[in-house]
Amino acid sequence: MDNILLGFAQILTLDNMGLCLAGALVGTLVGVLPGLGPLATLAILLPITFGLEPLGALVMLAGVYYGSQYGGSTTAILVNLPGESSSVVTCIDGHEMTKQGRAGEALFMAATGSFMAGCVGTLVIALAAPSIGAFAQQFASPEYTALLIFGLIAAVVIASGSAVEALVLALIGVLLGFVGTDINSGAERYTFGRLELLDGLQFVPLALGFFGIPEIIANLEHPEQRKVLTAKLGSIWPRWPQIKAGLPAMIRGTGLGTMLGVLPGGGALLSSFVSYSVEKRLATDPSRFGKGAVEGVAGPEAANNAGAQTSFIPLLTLGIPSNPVMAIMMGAMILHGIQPGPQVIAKQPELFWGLVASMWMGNLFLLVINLPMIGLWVKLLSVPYRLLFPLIVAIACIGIYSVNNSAFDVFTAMIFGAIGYVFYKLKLQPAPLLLGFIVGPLLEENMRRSLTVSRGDPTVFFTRPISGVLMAGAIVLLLALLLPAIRRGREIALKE
Amino acid sequence: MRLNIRNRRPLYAGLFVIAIGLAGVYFGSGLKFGRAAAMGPGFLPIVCSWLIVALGGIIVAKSLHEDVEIIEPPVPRPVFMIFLAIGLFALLIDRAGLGITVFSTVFVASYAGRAKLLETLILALVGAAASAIVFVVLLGLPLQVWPELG
Repeated sequence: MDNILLGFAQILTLDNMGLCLAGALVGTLVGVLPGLGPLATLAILLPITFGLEPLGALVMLAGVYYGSQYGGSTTAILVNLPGESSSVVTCIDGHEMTKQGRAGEALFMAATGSFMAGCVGTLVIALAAPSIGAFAQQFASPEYTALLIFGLIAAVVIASGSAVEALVLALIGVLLGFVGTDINSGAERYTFGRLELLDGLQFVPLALGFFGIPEIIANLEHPEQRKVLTAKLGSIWPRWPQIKAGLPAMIRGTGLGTMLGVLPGGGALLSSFVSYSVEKRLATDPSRFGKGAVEGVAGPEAANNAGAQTSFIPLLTLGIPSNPVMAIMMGAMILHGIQPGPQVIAKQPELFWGLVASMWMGNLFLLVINLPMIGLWVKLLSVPYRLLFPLIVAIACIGIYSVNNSAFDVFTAMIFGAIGYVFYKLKLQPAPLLLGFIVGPLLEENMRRSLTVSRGDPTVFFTRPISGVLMAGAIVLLLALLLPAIRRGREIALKE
Repeated sequence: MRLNIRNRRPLYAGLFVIAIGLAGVYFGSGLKFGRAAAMGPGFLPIVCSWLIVALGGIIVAKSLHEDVEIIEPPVPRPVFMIFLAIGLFALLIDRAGLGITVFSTVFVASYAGRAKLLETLILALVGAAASAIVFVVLLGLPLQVWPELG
């Protein structure tokens, strides 16, 4: 309780409240506008937060993340365009409700569902994180190595279509993480004699190269037909039967999302898909789904917000990013000189609890931003992409440049952009690469330390109880990849 | 023996991945390898690179038996103009200052899509002015707005 008060004491300053609101607003704006997902948005905005205090920067970035989720739901419901991938499910019934003149009701369900889930998610973080963090403080380097390996494999295996391809991209990320001076020996690795590479590759040009640039080009290759909203919004206040149907779906969605968000590779996307199929299965009349079922909006929207919240738990307590968005948050923390992990809660309680308090605050702001101001967001939907993307390109360049005032970084982003574009054409998903890049250096450090202590004996990872369990888990996951029967089952599950 | 390649997507993807892995091996070959108890700087990079090559091989193998996936051909105009716009930014920013740089980048990038001259000029001007106000005045980034004279 004291801790939560400490958090609110941190956050209830004019500066931090302002940053939280600004983040939520910018996030919603970007989520509503076409063409940039939360990943690219966060990467672009990351450099802008450099001048801020670490807490303020994280509060703002977290706000952007939830905001873009919310904004994505708005466009999904109103014009059948998922602003980002976890809103794909919301399109199905949400847009159908809009066609029936029940858009207001769908927006209300999405907003209240998300708010409720956000509150629960925040509470779960506040309750669970300190004990997980305390537990993790007993970890030595073999446990950390095993945890990182398990987390990386689980994240790529659970979250992506082709597991072999995801794994290979994670490894390419790890390889890119080797660039720079080796801390143990001082040797230069993959620097090609460039001074700029001695400190390793910069996170921002890498993230924008692989996510921002290909995304912009892809949008230009497929000029979208934006439909103008013609249907009436309808009243935003639902009637009793809708509440009766929506509320249990919200509660179930919140529960599912809270659990799935903690898993590596979980988070918003997986949560919303699972929630939708659960709602469909539980319904007495499943044929209503796809024709404007309230549960099909309320459940997944609650689930994706709960998942978005609780995916912060592994990052804040163990220092491992469970999905690419968390990799960006981790990148932001490292750029501000904070090494995420169990010591954050113990040594920087004001940062941790401030962030937790800001999550609740951000969700409250979003409710306020979205329900009364929905008309404004609807108008923004009609801004054509041809006016937006040149500005996005310029802002991205300024962002990359301003990290170190380095034109070299802009050139690096171009090179990664070219590779990223080839990946996009060959349908290789770059998300695991970002995870590998962030986790790689930690993995190397801990693995080398463990093996030095054990005099080169690799059984050290298996004989200690915690790391043994984690390694066994990692091996089971790898086997699951290779066994075709399980693989097929997973593909069917993902398709649903 | 003639291989029957049905699906080109994994073939190219796998080969691209293998090329990245081999580049990792080649450029990492000068680094001291060491042994497990005392890993040299090259140990994990080389192991990681060979793993990439091996997994790339598995991806290539998929091209023999899976369904055909279509690779969409690149559309040259957006690709070329976007990279030109970014390259221009990198070349100009240290010399011309933020205003001129952003103006040029926005102008060139616009032509990646369907641009109209007048609209594009206005957009580039607004973009340059807005970025100077937001980034230099409001956020206080240490950027030069105008080129240094002399």
